[in-house]
Amino acid sequence: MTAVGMELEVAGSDKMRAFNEEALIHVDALFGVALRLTKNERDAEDLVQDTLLKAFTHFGKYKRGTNCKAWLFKIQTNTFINRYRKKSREKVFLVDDRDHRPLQDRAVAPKRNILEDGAEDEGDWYQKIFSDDVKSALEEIPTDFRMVVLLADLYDFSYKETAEIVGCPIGTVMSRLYRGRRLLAAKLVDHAVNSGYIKHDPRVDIEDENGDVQKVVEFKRRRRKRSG
Amino acid sequence: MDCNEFNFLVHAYVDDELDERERVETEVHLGACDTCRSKARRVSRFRQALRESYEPETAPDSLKVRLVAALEAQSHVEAQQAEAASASGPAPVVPLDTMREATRRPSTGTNRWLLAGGGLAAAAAVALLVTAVFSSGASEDASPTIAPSGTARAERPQSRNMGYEPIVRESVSWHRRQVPIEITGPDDARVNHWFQGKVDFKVKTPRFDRRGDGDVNLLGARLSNVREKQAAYVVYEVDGSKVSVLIFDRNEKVPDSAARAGERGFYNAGGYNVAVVEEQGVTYSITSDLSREDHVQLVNAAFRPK
Ligand SMILES: [Zn+2]
Repeated sequence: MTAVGMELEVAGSDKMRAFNEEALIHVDALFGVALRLTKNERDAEDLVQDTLLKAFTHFGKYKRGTNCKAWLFKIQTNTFINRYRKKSREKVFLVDDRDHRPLQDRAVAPKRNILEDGAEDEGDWYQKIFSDDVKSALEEIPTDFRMVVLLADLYDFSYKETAEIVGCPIGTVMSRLYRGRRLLAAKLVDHAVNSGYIKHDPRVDIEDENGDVQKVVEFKRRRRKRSG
Repeated sequence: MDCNEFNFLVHAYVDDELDERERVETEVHLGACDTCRSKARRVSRFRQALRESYEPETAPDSLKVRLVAALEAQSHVEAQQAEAASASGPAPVVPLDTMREATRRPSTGTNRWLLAGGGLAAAAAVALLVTAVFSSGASEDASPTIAPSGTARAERPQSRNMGYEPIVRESVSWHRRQVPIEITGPDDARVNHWFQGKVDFKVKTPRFDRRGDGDVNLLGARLSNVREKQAAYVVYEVDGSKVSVLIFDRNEKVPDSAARAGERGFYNAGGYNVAVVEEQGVTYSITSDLSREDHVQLVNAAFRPK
């Protein structure tokens, strides 16, 4: 975390005070995620303002002392999906009118991936990752994957919280997160190769892409069996 | 545990999302397997590099200033509403743009702060959206009212159908949202097959095209849940309207007589028509903004009592 912005303070009622303490403290995190989702500052500011106004209006429904951050991100995610998605014309949700393959096929990671199959001594490239590279790589991967990587990897939400925020089962969060990481790693390796940080593309063949979703299902089933 | 199993668990292991037993099993394997150990190290280093390199933005001061102004305006509006409510009768409806006007960004010159539609419609849209988002919460006072819209074909034993209201509510909530799909249509066999192994029951997407006329198109489907049970969510386009179907197993014994009769209830909630149908032990909840007549016809054509 770098610069500390000005203190946010809304004077007034008890509701205001509680809102200050529990909700407004998350404005930076909301803005950071909003910026990656909308990809521009103006829309990000609008998204955060709309999110916090909605949260304020419905603050009565929020149970004090529970997970306010997750509650806010849920509002923001829904607001984004319902409004900004339409504007940005990003073809990720519901039906893509140019591409009728299923979502998971459209967003397939390269078959070779350094995350799973890189050689040990190629680890150096990790040290050459810069914040701006990560940000632009993130903005290049599909929204569904970007969202879970942002929430789980960069904003410290658990799988369960991420599932609640995004509104999908934990298994879906898991497969999106893993695939999102692979997509991201692939972009970053491309970038590192192009910039000459690493000499050879360290990726080798093997990854079984299509097995992934099925594995998540099997994993969930195993868990259920065990707990049930 | 073998390497195959570990391949899948590696991310959850690195993220510390395994339960105690899984974690122990994983570590036993890691102690004995160099390949998996190096894989875990790679995933872990990648995740760490990601987090360490990422410099999160802070919200600009200009946004914070506007936020404070907007919240104070909203707070003021609420105080006035409360006053008016205690003075006499119901609270006046205050459109959201009252406060938005006060905080509009000066440089844009357009109504950037207004929602599409503006005014009361916008306020209502926000209320609906938020209702949809939080309908799983304890307070449901703002939820749409649900009225059975008459019985069709079979008489419904009231005792069991009392359980339909939450299903109707959730169906409308799903229907309203734009959600990503995981498998695209229009091939219903392919969609049905996709759900194999993902849900505990056999998914048979309804054949609305049995209606015989008009334009029916299976757009796609995804996993979802109803009343915390896993469900298949299927979206159709029928004569240009969105029709969504939630399919799930309520795990409740439905009397054979009822199942044979193709028992169904029709409801209207939040402006949508919803039908709940039991067939062969599986529950179907069909939501659309078709006219009631078209909705009933569509449902009855797809679910014919045997
Ligand atoms: Zn191994």
